[in-house]
Amino acid sequence: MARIVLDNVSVEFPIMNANNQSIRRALLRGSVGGGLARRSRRTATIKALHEVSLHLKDGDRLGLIGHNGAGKSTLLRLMAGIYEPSSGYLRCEGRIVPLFDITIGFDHEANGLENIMLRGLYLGMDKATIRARTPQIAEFAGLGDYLFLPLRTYSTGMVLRLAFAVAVEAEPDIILMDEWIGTGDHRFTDRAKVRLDELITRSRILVVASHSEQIIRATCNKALLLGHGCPLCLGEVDEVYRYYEFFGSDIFFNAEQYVAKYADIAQAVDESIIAPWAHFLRWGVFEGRSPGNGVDLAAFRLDRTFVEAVERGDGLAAANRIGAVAPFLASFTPPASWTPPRSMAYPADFVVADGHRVLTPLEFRARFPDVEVQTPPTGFVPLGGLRAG
Amino acid sequence: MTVDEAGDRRFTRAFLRSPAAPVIDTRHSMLEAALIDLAHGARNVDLWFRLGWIDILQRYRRSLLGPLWLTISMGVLVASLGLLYAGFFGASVEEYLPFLSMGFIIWQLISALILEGCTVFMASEQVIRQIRLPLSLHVYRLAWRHLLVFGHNIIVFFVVMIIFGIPLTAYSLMSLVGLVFIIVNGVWIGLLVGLLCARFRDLHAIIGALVQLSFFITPIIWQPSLVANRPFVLTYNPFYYFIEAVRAPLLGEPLALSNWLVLVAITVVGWAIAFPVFGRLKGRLIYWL
Repeated sequence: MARIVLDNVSVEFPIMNANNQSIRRALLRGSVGGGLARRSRRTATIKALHEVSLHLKDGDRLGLIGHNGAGKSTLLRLMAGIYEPSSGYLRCEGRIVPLFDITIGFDHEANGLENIMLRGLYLGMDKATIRARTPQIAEFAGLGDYLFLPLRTYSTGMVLRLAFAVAVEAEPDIILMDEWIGTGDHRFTDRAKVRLDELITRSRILVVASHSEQIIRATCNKALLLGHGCPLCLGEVDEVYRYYEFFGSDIFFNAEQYVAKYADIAQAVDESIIAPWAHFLRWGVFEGRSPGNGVDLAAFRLDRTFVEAVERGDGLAAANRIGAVAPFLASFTPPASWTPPRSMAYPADFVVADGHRVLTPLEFRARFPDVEVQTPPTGFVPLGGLRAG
Repeated sequence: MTVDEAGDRRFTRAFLRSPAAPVIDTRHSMLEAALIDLAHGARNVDLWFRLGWIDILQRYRRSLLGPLWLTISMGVLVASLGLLYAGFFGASVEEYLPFLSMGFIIWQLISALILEGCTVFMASEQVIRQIRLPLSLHVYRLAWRHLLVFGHNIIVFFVVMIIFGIPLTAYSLMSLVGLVFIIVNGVWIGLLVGLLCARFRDLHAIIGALVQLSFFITPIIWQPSLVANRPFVLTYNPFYYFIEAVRAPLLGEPLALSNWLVLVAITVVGWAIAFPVFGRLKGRLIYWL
């Protein structure tokens, strides 16, 4: 049985430079209490992962989603045992085969056959297994007599094919992939895909980071969205993608205003290098902070959907509610770059708090003439009525 | 012991038996972490055996004589220095040359283990960043590589033995024990200085200077009898004991029991320091590279 357990795991990278990597500094630190030494006592760090909790078991296929620098690779390398958490608990059971750089460890002066053995050993296979599988690796790589020539005579594509052919023979419990591994060679790609799929089927747990929604949807049964090192959403692939796309559209959230309005957020954003929107989802929405664009969360305090979401700590659901209602608030000021969607549902079930006002469909139509407003089939009868428009 | 802890123990034991996959667990104590690393590294013997060979072959690929160049260059060095310095020290060549050649060959092993121990992890940075391997594996590879170099160099000494008619006796085999001491100590030194040098980059230069100094204050090119009136020069030099342990038996000279006791003490103390430090710091290495 394979298992990956992460409990509030954080990873911080110290920024090493001559200042803190020199022994002189370390000695100074011990002997002199002076200004210089004191200033260098705390090595600057970058928080690459922030309190990630995760539990993976046999059969889990996890896709990691997020922008560049979101912490996908760091999380993968953490699971691979390459990075040690700076806090939190990590446990991985099972034979891990990381497919990050599948050509690492190749000896370019040695020939193909010797490199098959070498890479096989790096992947944790034993000598006898590699020997037994060498014929099929050779056959699959399709390099012919090149196998008897040093690797430096190979083209890049050939090296990759060999690397790939060895990699798919591994016997993993856990496969970790940073972007889908491929070979680039068209004739090879179809066969490669089949073999890789077989490899993945043999594994118990797969964790893959990818920018390709297609790949994640095709291979994964779970997804984790990371934003600036914070786990934002873990769940079904569909759900997580909805979340991801949500933040592509920025319907109500104005990062600049959000940061400008609250000094402590500016500092938090600055210090822990967290994205403003991630901050909003993790904390802001629960603290009733205004996401900008004229949206005041006080307007939501009587709304059941919103209040319940906040009460169960579901920042996404709360934000979703804000997103659905915000354009209809009288105080809403759309950002300059906002292109309204073609149609929006009127938030008929929204209960607005005193001192705030929701636009009528008519008013809304006047403000955003290009948006078609969908009114609910029953219940709420909007003031002024739609028929008038 | 809770059920979970019992499971952990079982898992640790199970993996120590199997080479397949060590469990990663941040709750392992630092001694446990060090032990797991060392044991798992040893179990990857096929990999570091191969890598050690590749390291040597790589240097001499496409050359006609290959690693034999190690032997040849050592032979030329020892022969010329031996003939020249024998005159300086007023010693006879047949007495001085075997002494010098063996001392030199052992010193090369010792200094390489220390100096390359400083860069052992930095040199494998690429692999360490991509694949999880026991860190000890890199040190084993280093030790194995230099044992192989030693194997090539020792041929020079055998030639010297034949030329000067030095007999190979049962007592000469004691030098193998000395060699084991050098390697066993070389491993803890590699683990320790490898980590510390990655953290403090200046340390490499400091150790380099110290090793160079040690070469001159250790009886390698000069014979111990020259400092008979100042024995402290030898008494406080740890390198002296290691070199004597290999050299004396091969030259047929007696070796005091105290020499072995000092080696045992150095080994025990060295490992006692390096083992917990290694367990403690090994997880931080990746952040220092």
